[in-house]
Amino acid sequence: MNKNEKHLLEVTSLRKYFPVKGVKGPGVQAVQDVSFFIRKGETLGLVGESGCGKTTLGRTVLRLHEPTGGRIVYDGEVLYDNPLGPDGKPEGKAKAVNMLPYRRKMQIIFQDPSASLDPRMTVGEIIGEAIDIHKLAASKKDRSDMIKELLARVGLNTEHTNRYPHEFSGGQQQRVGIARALAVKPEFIVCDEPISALDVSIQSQVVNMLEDMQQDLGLTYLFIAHDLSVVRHISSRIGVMYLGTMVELGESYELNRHPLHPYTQTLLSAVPVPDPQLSRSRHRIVLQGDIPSPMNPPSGCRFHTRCPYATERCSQEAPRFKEHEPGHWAACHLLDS
Amino acid sequence: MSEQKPKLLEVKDLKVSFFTPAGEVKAVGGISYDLDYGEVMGVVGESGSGKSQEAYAIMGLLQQPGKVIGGSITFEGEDVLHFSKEQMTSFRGSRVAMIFQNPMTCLNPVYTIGNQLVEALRAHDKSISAEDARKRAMEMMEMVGINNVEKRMKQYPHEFSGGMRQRVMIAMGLICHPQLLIADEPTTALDVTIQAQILELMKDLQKKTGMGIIFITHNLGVVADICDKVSVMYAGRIVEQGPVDDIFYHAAHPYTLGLLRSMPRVDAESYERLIPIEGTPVDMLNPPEGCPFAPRCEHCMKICLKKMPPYVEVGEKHRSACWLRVQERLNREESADE
Repeated sequence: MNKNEKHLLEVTSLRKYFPVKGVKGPGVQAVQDVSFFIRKGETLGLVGESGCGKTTLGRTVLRLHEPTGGRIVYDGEVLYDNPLGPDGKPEGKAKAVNMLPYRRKMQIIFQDPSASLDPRMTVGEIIGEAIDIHKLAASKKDRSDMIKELLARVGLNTEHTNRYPHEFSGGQQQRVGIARALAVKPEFIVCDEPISALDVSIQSQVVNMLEDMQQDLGLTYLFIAHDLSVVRHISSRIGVMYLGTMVELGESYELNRHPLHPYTQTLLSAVPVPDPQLSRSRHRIVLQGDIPSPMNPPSGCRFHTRCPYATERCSQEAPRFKEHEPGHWAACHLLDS
Repeated sequence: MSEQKPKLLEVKDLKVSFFTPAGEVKAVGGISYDLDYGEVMGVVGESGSGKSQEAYAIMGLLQQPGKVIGGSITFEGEDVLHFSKEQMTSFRGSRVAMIFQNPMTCLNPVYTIGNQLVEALRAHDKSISAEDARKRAMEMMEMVGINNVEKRMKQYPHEFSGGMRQRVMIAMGLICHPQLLIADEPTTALDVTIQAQILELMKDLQKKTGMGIIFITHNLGVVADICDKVSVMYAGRIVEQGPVDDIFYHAAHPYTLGLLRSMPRVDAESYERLIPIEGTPVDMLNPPEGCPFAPRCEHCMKICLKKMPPYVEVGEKHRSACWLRVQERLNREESADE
């Protein structure tokens, strides 16, 4: 246990399948045996295209989706354990704990603030509900003080507790969502595309606020987004997902300078840079085709159908997720030779 | 120079207002620009900046209660705003086409793709035979990089992925060979790798056909990639306009500068804290007096809160509406006088 002490979250071979009615087989293989850890106080970024399972992974870690298999350890305590046998099937019955005490420690900020806030509750009620559930306030006054403090913390007017979500702009709504997550004094927050729905000029305000909160409150983030430039900015380490699997994970600047996996290389070259001269001279790898369906993923390496370097072996054998350089993991056969 | 060919598109002091129960919303408050054949102009702005409404006005697609209340739109020397309904119908589609952010809402889910492409063509070219139309539709699909055309023609929109649907939309837009394509956030709903494909395709088609493109987006990276010139819009006005390099390397309006500074860059060498634009976007029902950006501007002066700044030429074809630039100009003239 000693070596894991600084790992706040450890996920081993986590798997999540969604059964599909009327279809034989495992259904949608949204997350396929993903392993990673998050150190206390760091931000792990998670990038990938739509449908790659990054949101599902974030939610499964919190057990908002019940995992199909694998193991989740939070702060040394097992939240879920269901090891998979060699045939890929769970060996026994899953060990799962009651999540309520952990909900206070592990929170989530959602992508679309207008959809994740109840339109019929005032901002005070939305934030207060979390305080009530976990019985964090000693008195009524205490409760309203806490709500005001939280609103001030996220840069909102403390007089606005009686307003409804629709009275706020998108950026302000997201701040309410963040205040709601902070209400229970969590240690760990899954930020699921928290700025994608916001205007460009507002995005950086929210990013800076998340960074300040991390500094002040010692928070740990799992930051999910499809925008690589934002993830690169906020994360200490980045995991890249493709079609349910983690293809690469490394320190964020290292990953940017030396992407090992062909998919990461493509992703980096596809991000448009706000610099006209650079974008004229830059070589861009354009991938052919679309992401295959996670209901019927390609055999072997899931990326082989679009990979410019794919070989015979890639279509037959799934590459292992290995540490190629210290702290830099990748799953690709090319790196073995 | 006497026989000057008219520009592809000239917009002069265009004003669009929405007359809502809550009051008049000046979505577009007097913008001017021109676009030549083969040029790609980017229109950048946040939601509510009027960048889409301005394009809808060109297409004659403004929704109630929106109205063009002033200015002119001239397309190849013709006055678009005074077209009759029939003229507008033939103008739209055959000379100027538009593609939208979400292709799924633009395609009819109960007709095959082939059907919809042929329909688009035959709506404008009544004399074309069904067989020829089908051939043209298939050519177009190949041109936008769709394989297996025979089979794809018979499929329905839901059988296409997001990127493929956007390709279909582009094929449909270009099937009558328009001189102008208006692309309203065509890649915003797509993933980056698919976005890269679509941008390459659009650049390629633009070179082949020589059409002009108005590219509406909020993504400055995309602008840097595809555009020749840029108009930056804020609260219904163009605050800065110029060639793409000037906008990115010599931005002359605090809003443009703010946007550029607030974006994290994927090629940054080390961590730098972002510098956001403080404040919130303008409430278009109660826009501030004077420069709309003044309440959020770090260089705000007294005059900014009272009067809208005029355009100042800050470089060749590069102009900016900011009192700072006016002041600079005055200072320079003063020192020249001495």
